[in-house]
Amino acid sequence: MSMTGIEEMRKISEQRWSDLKGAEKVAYIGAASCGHAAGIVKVIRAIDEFNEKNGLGIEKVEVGCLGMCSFEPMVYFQKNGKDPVVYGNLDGERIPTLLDGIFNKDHYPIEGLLGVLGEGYDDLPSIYDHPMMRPQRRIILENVGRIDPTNLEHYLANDGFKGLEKALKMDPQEVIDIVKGSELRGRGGAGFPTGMKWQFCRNAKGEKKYLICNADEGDPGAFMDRSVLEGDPFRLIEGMIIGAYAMGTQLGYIYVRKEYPLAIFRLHIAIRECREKGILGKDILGSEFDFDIEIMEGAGAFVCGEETALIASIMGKRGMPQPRPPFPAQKGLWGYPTNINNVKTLSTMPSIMRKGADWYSSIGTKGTRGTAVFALTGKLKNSGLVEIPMGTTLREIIFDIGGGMDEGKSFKAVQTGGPSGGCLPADALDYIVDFESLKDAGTIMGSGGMIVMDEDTCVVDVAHYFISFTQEESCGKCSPCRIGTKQMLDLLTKIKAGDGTRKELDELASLAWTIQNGSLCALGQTAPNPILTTLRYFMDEFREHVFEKKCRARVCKALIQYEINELKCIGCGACERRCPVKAISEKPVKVTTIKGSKNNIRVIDPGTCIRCGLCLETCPPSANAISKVSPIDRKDEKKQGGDGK
Amino acid sequence: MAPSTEEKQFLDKILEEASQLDSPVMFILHKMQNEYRSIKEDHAEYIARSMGKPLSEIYSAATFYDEFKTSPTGKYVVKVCRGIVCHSRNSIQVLNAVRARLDIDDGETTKDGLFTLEEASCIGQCDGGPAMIINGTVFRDLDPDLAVSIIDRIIGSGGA
Repeated sequence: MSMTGIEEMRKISEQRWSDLKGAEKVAYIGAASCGHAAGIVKVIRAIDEFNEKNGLGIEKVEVGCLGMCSFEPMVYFQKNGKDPVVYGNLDGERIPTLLDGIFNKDHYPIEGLLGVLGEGYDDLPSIYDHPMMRPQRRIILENVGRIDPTNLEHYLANDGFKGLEKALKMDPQEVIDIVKGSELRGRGGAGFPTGMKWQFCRNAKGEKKYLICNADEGDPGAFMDRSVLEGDPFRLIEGMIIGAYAMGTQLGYIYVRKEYPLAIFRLHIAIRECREKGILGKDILGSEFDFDIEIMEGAGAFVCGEETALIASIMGKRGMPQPRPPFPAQKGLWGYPTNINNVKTLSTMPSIMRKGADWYSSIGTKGTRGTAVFALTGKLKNSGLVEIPMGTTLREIIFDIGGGMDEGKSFKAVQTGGPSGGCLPADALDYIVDFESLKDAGTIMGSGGMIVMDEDTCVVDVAHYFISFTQEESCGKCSPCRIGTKQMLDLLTKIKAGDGTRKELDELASLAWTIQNGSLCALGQTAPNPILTTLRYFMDEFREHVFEKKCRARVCKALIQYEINELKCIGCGACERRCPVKAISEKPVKVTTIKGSKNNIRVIDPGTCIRCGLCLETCPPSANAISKVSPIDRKDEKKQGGDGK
Repeated sequence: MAPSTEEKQFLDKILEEASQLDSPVMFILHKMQNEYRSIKEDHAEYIARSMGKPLSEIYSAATFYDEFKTSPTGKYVVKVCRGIVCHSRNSIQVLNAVRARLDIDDGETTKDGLFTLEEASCIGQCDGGPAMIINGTVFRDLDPDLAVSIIDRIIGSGGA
């Protein structure tokens, strides 16, 4: 298709889009992974049933995820061409009353109403004024949740491929200059200036070149790339074509995790569609530039997120990193110059090309321009996917957007950067988000996982978790990483088991130094970070584990006990039946049940108990007789004559 | 042992498809794993010979990645997420419940060949943990009972 061809297609697309936006009755359905899992299918069925029975003629459009994951399933209802109204936490049963209210009675029921997807009207607030949305600045996520991700017309009608059209009319060097001018830094975690990286690849000599999109998102707590791929795959494709044109590459790869089936499915649809319309393949939009994209599914190796390991994996080899130099820009896939960018980096390109370098570099902080996409998860009220301008504080993200801690618990730590990052305490909440600031604080920005932890989280357990993750995922090529992570894991296991001494604490710190300095790739070099930051900020808790044999969060099994409060136990025996190791038995103390019968109360034998916690879960809430205690606290209380509360 | 005629037909077909690709090996391994639930030695030999590669090259990749197995997995591969968010929401209890229901440990396959159980590193469903993924279908917001009921449903449907 030629440039004029796409203009015509855009006109048709815009017409269809405005027809849709002006339509009388539409239901936009949140159909990303989160919506599906939250039960959107039942909601769709209920809409279909009501629609058919009442002959309403509601049109249905499937869209991606708005990022307000804790409000899924979500549907936005559009009536008489007005901006749609978003409803969250839906279930099939509520649909008839809701539809009846909106479409028959001209009344928007208040339950589950989140706001208008656009400006508010008739007393209905705008969703962009919702606490979760207000501080956001959506660039990469611009379309996510607003358009049907598999519909090219929707993308075209929302400025899709305008950036590419502009780029194709320029000299490739001009495109790179714009990227340089935007000061965009790579969003995979390392934050290397993208324009410079592209320049290296453009300057490199080779009869062919490759562009790889790294969608092997594997950090625990991260799902940004998944949402972008599921919600707006055309944007990534546009970004990749822009990059390919700038660097002169003929073939691109999207290396995506097999664990993201919906993302892979939608990417296939989007790529096929682009090939059919001449946006991918030979002579793209009549520019005489050829480029195509292949999808490569990962096979469950976290280390393949490292660029040299990723290249090895595409070549069908073991996913093991190589020493750099040579850098991929000089000698990458099959020995040719190769550029690798993260999903979010490439998905930013269409906006930068469309709106210009100055526009982008006016957002964010001096060192880090633009926005950050975070997957906000953990023990907070609103988890989800958010995009904020760089420079926003951690406090704003967690307490304004995230709504603060869930269930009235207090904040303990926030973890960013996955297994390469660190845990920050409450004191650090006023740090702003950008590459340098988070580095100063002791962690890294990473690719965008942000895990919020409350008082019930044990930081030693968190450190143990991350090191067991890296130990498992270490490819085994170099010994500091292979053996060092195992040693660290053993030390932390010992501390968690209450067998730690000062020696273990000292060894942790010295091993961390060795692994950081001796490992071949970033996986190993950054593996000690979760431990170093927890040691730095939460030394007290490590000391408690080592010297007092106490876990204040009551997580480490060897340091806690379960107890039944004799005054509260109603003798129902539910815990005894559930206990997998028969650690619970009757004690000849009678209590009278509601029904009047006399029961013996129960006791737990701490020697047999495996601390699985099933008894605590099973105990009826009306009795609430079982609690997790730290034996050390009990001793102290006895000394002080406390009552055990 | 050599691949049967039928198996050869299949392998030839994926070799033909792969010949169009710039980087064929992972594509072939995925196809073999999906079709036969493992990378069989004779198949790997056949592929290596057809591609003019040493067997070690195919096998070194086949044995590196979690996704590829040298002995067959069950018809359903249950991957319980052990990511940090799922972990903090007690995914271990979900894992234990599935272990108990299937009477196998992680990495094992049930005797009837229906299920293989695995622990997965984070599967990126952190906004809805604990989560698990069974043959490409994601299940979220699990508790032990719900996880077992999903397994029961598959067993109840005769594994179809």
